[in-house]
Amino acid sequence: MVANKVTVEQYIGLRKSRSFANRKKVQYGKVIAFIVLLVFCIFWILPFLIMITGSLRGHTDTMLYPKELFYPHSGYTLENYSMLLTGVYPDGIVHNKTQEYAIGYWFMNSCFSAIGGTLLYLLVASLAAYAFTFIDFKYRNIIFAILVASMVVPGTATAVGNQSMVFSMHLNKSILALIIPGLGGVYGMYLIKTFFESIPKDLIESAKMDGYSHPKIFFKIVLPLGKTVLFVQGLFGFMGGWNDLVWPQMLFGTQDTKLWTLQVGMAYVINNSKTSDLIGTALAGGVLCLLPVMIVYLIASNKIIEGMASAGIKR
Amino acid sequence: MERTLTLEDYSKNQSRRKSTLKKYGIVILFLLPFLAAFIVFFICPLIYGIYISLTNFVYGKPGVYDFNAMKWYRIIFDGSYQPKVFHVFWASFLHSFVFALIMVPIAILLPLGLAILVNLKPPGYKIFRALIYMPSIVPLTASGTIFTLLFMPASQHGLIAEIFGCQINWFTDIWFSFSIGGTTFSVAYAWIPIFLMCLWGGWGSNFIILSAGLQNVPRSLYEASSIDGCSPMRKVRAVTLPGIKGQMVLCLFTTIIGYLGLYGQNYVLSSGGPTIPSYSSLPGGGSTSTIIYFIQDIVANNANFRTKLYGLGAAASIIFAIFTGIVSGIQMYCTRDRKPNNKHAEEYLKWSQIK
Repeated sequence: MVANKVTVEQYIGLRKSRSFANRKKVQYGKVIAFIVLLVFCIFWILPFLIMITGSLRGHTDTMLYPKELFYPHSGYTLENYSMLLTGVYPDGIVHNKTQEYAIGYWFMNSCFSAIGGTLLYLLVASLAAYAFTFIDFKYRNIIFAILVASMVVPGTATAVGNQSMVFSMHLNKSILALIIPGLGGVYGMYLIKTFFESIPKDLIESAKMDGYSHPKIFFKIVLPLGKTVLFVQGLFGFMGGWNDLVWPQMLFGTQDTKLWTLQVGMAYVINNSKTSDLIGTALAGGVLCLLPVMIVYLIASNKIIEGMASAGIKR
Repeated sequence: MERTLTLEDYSKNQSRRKSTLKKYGIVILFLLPFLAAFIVFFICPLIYGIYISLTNFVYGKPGVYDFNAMKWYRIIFDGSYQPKVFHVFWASFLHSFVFALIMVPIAILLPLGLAILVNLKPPGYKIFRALIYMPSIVPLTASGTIFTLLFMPASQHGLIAEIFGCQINWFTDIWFSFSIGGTTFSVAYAWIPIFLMCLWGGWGSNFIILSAGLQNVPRSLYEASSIDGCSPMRKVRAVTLPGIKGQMVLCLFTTIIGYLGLYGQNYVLSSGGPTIPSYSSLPGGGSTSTIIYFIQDIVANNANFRTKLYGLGAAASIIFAIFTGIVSGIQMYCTRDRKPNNKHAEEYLKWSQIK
């Protein structure tokens, strides 16, 4: 008994040293994590820097001086951007493009398909999600189960049929074809519905008691409460619409360049600029292509990350 | 006077009828736009696509066509019918498959490691998280320009060629070839830029989902395990990994499906090439073509293939869809419930209920 006795001072000293050791250990892990992440992130940011500085070089020294990667030999210029946007090239540059670059049209088409498509989809999908969550009707669960089961079928299966259908509807010369087929997408509707389910049913019931009609409940109560999920789904939709390459290419790939989106157009630009003189214009196009998405990301990166995380946890 | 109806009954009846109508009117109003789009642009194209793959369909001339005794499927499955197209299709399929096999473990383990590091919450971890996810939002064409610049041949002063002085024509040379049973397979150097491009921007959502999953693992389990004297490695194995099992399954299957559908990277960087001479006049004849590239080559990129082989594209897309549909069906089956599927957990639940 006596041998096991510890004085109060000793005990406090023991506790202190132990907690000190613990804290030191945790910080050790944090320091390692910090260093590893820092090195990793520098590596991961490097391509962005190469792209931006590369696009700001003159066409004559785009790649000639690898050691001056970030400080161009003859200073920063906007030469590449003007070459890309105006289509006027200095003497001595050989390019073998067969179609005109219509960057303005491509940009507007991309904006239209990304922004317009997203807004329209949000309206349609949240209406459907409201109906599935708050209105009782016959076969509701069966219809919803069919919709969920259809998520197994990948987009490729319907793309070929869609292309022919759009052609037979004579939509293949109109950029509406970029957004309308996306309106039936189930995934976003599913996400919105899972959020709507967390809205208390009593709220809706009491609103009904007060004589609110369904459209009024939808616009006055559910939409304001569901702002977060609509915002997140809107961001996903915008990014998806902006970055989509396969569907616009299927629609307009062999048609007039004025119908192309920025993605289709840029893929064409890259294929025609694989020389040291022209790669700068491709980089400039890449920067233009990246800019809107990057602005959205820098403003709302936390929202995007949290939205994606909660979508991943819920499923 | 046999059928008298009180005023009360009448009004009740009427209002019920009216309210049913009103109710279903509302349902139709809310649901119609979505369901109409779903039926017109999902169900119809699916059926139409199957119809196209079974007939002599000609693109751009809608109408009724004759069934052609599964010609397109015979091309795909019968090696002796049209051996060249058969080879091109299965080579593309193999490319996708092998690439997914190489890429998927990396695209799960690398984000998992980074998520564990970020979850230690070093100073500024939110910035790190945002930076790590950033390449994944970059449009394919934008990242394509960067990797084109990096891997341009030495004659065009590509960055890698200038810095390391290597003389490889990355997008046109063949790395090595090997032959199995009389068919030669050649692996192009272009796979390296494609691989790096996927490595750079191909797993951001996995990272986010996994790190969210890590944060959801209850702290009490870690404390309990450290009281029981677990080493850090043991903690990862016994607490962390079971805790994020659901997210792991989700990431695994979405990544598999994503990389089986590889298209943008090889289209932007190498245009499916370098072309193999004997297959150059066929869709997807290059040595970096994938299954989606094969389909896209027929239905979008080349007007000549589109008029001649449209049904083949439809058939290939149906087969690919069945393949990925099975994969994501397995995924849905694995993640269908949030019940405790652990034997011990169930026993514990029973035991606690008895008490």
